[in-house]
Amino acid sequence: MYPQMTLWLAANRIDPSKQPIEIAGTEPYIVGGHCQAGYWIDDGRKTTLEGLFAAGDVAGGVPYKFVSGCWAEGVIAARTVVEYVKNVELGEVDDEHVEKEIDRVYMPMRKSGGVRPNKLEQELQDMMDKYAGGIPEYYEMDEARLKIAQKELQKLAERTKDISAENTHELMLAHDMIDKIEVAQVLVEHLLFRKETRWPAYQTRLDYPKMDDENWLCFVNSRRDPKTRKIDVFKVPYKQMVPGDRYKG
Amino acid sequence: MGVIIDKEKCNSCGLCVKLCPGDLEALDPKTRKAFIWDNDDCWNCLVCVKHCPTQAITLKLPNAITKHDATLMPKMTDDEIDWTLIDPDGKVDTFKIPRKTVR
Ligand SMILES: Cc1cc2nc3c(=O)[nH]c(=O)nc-3n(C[C@H](O)[C@H](O)[C@H](O)COP(=O)(O)OP(=O)(O)OC[C@H]3O[C@@H](n4cnc5c(N)ncnc54)[C@H](O)[C@@H]3O)c2cc1C
Ligand code: SF4
Ligand code: SF4
Repeated sequence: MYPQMTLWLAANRIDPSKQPIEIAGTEPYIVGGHCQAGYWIDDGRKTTLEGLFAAGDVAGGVPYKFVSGCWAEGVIAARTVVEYVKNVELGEVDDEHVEKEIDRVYMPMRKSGGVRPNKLEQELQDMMDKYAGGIPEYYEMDEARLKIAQKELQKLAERTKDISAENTHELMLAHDMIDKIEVAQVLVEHLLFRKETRWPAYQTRLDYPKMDDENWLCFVNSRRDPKTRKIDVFKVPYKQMVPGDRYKG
Repeated sequence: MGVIIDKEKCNSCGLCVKLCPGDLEALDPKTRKAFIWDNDDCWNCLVCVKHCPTQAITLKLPNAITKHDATLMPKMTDDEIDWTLIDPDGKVDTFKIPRKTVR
């Protein structure tokens, strides 16, 4: 039991040995280590971007890895990296690029009176809850609502150009927001693309309520064009590693 | 969720600033006392509460889910955490939980 749970029980004079406690199924995380979403990796945790490795919540394909699984993946990735760096030559640092990055990072602090990160976060949360299968919708979604989410995300993404930060803590939140909107955009594209319900309660497509192995026993991957910002979504074949009937344990 | 920092007790050591995984705590540049940027972003992980050397930080539940005052304080020893829970009627409960570490 978490400490705040103990405090909550005491503060509300609830004795859990005598009084039943109301529970609810919440927060089936679609992204992160609780689910399969993340960067496409090989066995050694190498991503599709040369020199970039992923372990833990950002690495895809391994659901329910939790903290211990993230650590294990960290070890796997580290072993691959150690081998990889043996053959890496150090390149030149491009000062102009560094200057550009500093400008990009500090831009929200150089503005004032723009939209604050916390405000955008609340708007993003409310919008995704409503149109992309959040808790008030019992994690159910359909094409019509996802398309609204797509449009609203576009507007939110444009508004991040106006984001301002009063201090370094808010600067961190500002970049958090920019990234969160990007993740939400990718998520909505994936939810729209998969026209079936593979994980009820995580991804319940009301317009395609059945699982459809014939068309969708596969991974869904995406790639974003850095110039046009267009997200390209595509299928990647599923390969069965353990032989036998995958629906019988 | 969130925490309350007792400015009188804070000795400005900066440990909570270093430990908070959410980058939520900082020292006021003028008073050198710890403060929290935004309690709404606190996950009640309790790292700061457990490690503050003067026990200046206490756990605070949001007003929306509790109406009464109760406190829960951990005290760290090398191999266990000694918790003291005081309910709204002043009844004190203590329990010891072994510490799991990989040191
Ligand atoms: C609500 C919740 C409850 C959970 N409960 C449990 C549980 O009970 N048991 C369990 O085993 N697991 C649980 N998990 C899962 C577990 O917490 C995660 O899988 C695990 O912590 C992920 O570890 P990680 O190192 O991969 O990622 P993280 O711990 O998320 O670490 C990523 C780090 O990267 C940093 N970062 C991000 N962007 C940048 C950047 N641009 N530059 C530099 N740094 C950056 C972040 O600040 C962060 O510190 C839970 C998760 C959640 C969300
Ligand atoms: S850990 Fe405690 S004493 Fe140290 S700065 Fe934080 S609140 Fe103050
Ligand atoms: S309880 Fe955890 S998240 Fe909250 S302020 Fe303390 S260290 Fe940060």
